[in-house]
Amino acid sequence: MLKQVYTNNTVLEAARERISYIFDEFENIIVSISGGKDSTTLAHLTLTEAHKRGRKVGLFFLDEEVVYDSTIKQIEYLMDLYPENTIKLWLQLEFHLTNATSLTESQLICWEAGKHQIWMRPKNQISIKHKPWDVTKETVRDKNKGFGFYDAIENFENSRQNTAFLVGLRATESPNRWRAVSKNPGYKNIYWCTKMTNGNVSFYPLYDWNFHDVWKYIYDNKLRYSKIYDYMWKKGMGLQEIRVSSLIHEKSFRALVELPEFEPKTYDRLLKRIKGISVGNLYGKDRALLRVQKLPKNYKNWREYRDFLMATYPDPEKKEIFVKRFAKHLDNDYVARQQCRQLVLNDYENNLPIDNKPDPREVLIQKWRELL
Amino acid sequence: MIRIGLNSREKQKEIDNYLQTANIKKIFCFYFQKFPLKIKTDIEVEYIEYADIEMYKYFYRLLEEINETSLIVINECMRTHNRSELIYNCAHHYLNQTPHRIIFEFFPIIEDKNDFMILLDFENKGKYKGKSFDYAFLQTEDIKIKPFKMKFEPINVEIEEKYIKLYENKKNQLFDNLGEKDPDTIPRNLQLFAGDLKKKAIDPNNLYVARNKRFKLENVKTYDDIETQGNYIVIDMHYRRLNFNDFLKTTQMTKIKYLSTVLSIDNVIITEFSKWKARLESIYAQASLYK
Repeated sequence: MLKQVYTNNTVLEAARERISYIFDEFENIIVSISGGKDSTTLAHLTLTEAHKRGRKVGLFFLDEEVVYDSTIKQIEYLMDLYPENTIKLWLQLEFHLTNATSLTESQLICWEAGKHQIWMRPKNQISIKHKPWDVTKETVRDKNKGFGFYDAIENFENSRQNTAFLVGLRATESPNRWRAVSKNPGYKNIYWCTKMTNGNVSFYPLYDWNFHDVWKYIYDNKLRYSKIYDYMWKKGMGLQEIRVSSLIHEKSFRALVELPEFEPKTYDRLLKRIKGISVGNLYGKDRALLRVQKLPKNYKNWREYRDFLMATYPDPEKKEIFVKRFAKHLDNDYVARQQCRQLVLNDYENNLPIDNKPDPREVLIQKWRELL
Repeated sequence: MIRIGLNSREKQKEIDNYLQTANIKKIFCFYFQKFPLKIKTDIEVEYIEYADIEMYKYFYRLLEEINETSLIVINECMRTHNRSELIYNCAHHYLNQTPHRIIFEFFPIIEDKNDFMILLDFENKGKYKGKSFDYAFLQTEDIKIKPFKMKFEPINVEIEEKYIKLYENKKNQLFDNLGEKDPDTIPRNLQLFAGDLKKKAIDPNNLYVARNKRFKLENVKTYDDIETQGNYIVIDMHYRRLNFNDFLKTTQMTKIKYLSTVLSIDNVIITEFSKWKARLESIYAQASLYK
């Protein structure tokens, strides 16, 4: 289990020391930014150090096209914070994204050539529009899925040498991921990093920050942050719930419900850009539909609903993936509900893993049978 | 420090004693709305309702304002079983900013002994993080308990054989038609059914408490109606333990009379309550007493 040990340093002092150490050790530094609060904080801390030292750092943004307008504004803001210390690495390239809102158009090719008239927005003047790596050596994780988001990142990273990549990963936000990346020291005796190829290292200077540390930093330094956070807060979402995410992925499609209210123009453009958006907007928070929390009326149980979804699944190749996966699972309603969710959200990649265990509801019913 | 089972006067006394030993400039009192606490002192006091603890408008301001000269009083704020609840986490952040804290709670647990860890987390989050309850913890912190001793007294209500059969039919019907409904609705419905059979035992000279207003009698109150001390005979037990605890806290009833039949649901209710009472008493038995 992860154990927290408190020192006399504040997380801010510690992060500054870590960043300073990275500047001492690496000539090339690149910060990955997403427009969210964590990467905003990390970029500001790194740029401040670069400014102090008269050095330059890269700000890397892989543009998914289908993002909030506020995210783009935030990226522009960060790129212009310390222009004399910034190398702008804004990538606007073709790659595949999962679309959880449509079964017939399960992938979106962002920045797809020939579709520029329906792109969410024109490409930015300063962006990198062609793959900045040797395409003959390009790697793809899953050829069936095509060149995806993580392939773009991986190929970009592999095109660099002896570079420190700074990422705003925080242990409290993703303990599993943190455990995976921090198991062994990635550079010298440092655990808050991961070793990569070509002498590159991925560093996590904010790994011990909590979400309120991030907000405090933004407040204290009067930094701009994505408007989406304010909208979400005003709608009553919890502090840990609010996040700036992709709009169509299987873990973030709920954002579509609020999108017309937050950014009507973005929603309008999205409707024209991709199938399934209106479905996501109408049903993204409906317990019976995309959230798959309430059994639709005409089914006796989740198993029956799953069997129906399976029988009517439109894509035979992907159906086979589900058939094989579900064959390994227990056949109960608890598991079947999660299987329904995967089918409805077209999660053939298994991003929403299934908790394969006896149905806790059955256990409770059994208890009442015995007692009553 | 943690103080269990105190009344308002005793709480005031504890606060007065504390203020004499520390240089406190401001008191922040977190309280649950049903159980407000009025602190008499010359020092500035800010009262913050339980539900507001996690609110943005309070969170950052309080993090700036609470310092080592602040006293935090947590009054009856154990409102959920989930130890990792965001609202508790927010409270821990405030508590981390000052060594001065007094935690008041009427019962040491909601349902089981692990609930006591919620209070220990208030006292020292870092120390108890990830740990399960151990009776030894009762002696490692400044904890004083004033036991609330209760006597449970079932009052037998005779019912006819035909109703026992109807009850069995109802039970089978509930299991058969459960569908996707919450299985806990079965005992709740059976309790209402059994409660209806107790109507004949209602005496106009006594006060009663039931889950709802279905009896349409002046002397039968609902749990929501009751706001002051008094003696009530229980027709239906509240299905949420926390609400029943609130009822006991409000009424201060030490003798709990319960209308009981031979039906299995009443047996379950009596057994579950007795088990809860035993868990409570085992904590009382191993803690330092408040004098």
